[in-house]
Amino acid sequence: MDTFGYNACVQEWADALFRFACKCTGNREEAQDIVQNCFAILWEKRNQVTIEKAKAFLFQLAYRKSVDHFRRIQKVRTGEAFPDQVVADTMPSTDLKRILNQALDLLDEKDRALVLLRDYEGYNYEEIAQITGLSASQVKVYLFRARKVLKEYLVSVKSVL
Amino acid sequence: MKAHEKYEMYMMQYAEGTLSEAEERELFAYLEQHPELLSELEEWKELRVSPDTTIHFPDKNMLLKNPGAQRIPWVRISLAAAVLLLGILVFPKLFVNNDNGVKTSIVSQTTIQSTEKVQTTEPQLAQTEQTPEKPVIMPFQPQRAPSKVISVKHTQPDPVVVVSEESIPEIAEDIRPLRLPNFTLLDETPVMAKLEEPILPPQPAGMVMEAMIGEEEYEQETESKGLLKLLPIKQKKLANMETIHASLNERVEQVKENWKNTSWSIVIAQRELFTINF
Repeated sequence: MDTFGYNACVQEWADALFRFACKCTGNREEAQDIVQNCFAILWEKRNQVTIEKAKAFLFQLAYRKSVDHFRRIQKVRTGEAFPDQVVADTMPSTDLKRILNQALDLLDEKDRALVLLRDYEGYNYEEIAQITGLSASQVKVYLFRARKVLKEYLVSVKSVL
Repeated sequence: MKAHEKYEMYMMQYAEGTLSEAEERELFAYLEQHPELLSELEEWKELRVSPDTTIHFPDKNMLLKNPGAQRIPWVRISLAAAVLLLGILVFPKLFVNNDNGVKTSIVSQTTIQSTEKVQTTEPQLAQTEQTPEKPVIMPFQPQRAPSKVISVKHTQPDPVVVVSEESIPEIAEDIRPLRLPNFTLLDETPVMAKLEEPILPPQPAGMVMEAMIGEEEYEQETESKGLLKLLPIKQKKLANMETIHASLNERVEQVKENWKNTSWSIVIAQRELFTINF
């Protein structure tokens, strides 16, 4: 991949990667750092990564860094409830999209990333498996588990309303 | 897996569009038996999360790279230049064909001396194989020659300047030295160089040393003529110098002509590195 290909990747995927990292980490500044790191690594390895594989490569990096960040933060917040989670419990929204976004915060880092890769980027199970290092059947099971959590949250919010 | 869990999984896959036809038929057969689950199927369909497209990376230009800032492969360029320069400096005789005729030769750089030897001992063989189309392959070509330079002439030769062979020593034609026409000095007196004398600071009147040349005519010449005339060479000698100069110029032109339409191939370890076309 040459410089023009790299710049095309920036134009094409920077925003999507940033949204993914934002949702995975729940932190805008951290997501910005992750995106910068991902593109810095892509630039370093541009001779080994083709432009067709660049998107999966970027999301793979972002997934790993987001999971690492999530685990690091979780150690700091041991025993504390996430602020977003509190907001989701106390401020139910009538907007379905917003409810689902709040419900995403209930998921653990891996399940959330799987849902985002599936819904945000439209990856199939095999592609998600390549990005996350899981098997396709594991991806299917984890996605089912995550969707079930979202469904239960959605049902609970609706019952309150 | 319980039956209900299995069909929950099917419902999720159906909502995602990843359920196969057989599984889909199976699911709807189950739903016909359990119509209360149809609402659950609708809930599964609602669980698609859509991205917030209003979120953008704040400074995309920071990530972009300038295409002009790509690295120039200086190492490769300098290596190629060094090899070429080394070849020209160390083996200049391989690159310059001193014989004005068309000469196609394959010479091993490691065996210049043996080339001379063979050409002097077998002059007939070397002459008969000098054709513009076919390269001359020396009979002594070593088996494991690590490198060689191939010079190929594509066009017809320029007319050869014939010089008497008596004055040329018997050496290989490839490395024959520059030939100059014989000339004689018009004046047998040695050339006098004024600048060889020390330039002394100005002395008081009466102690001025006379110039070594001393003739009044020389001073008149230097005053009336150009810079060339400042050289302490008598006018009579200049004719000889001009002859030398003209012959040198002629020789340089011949060398230039020989280089035209010639290609050089640098071959090391039987691998052609690059070819230079003139």
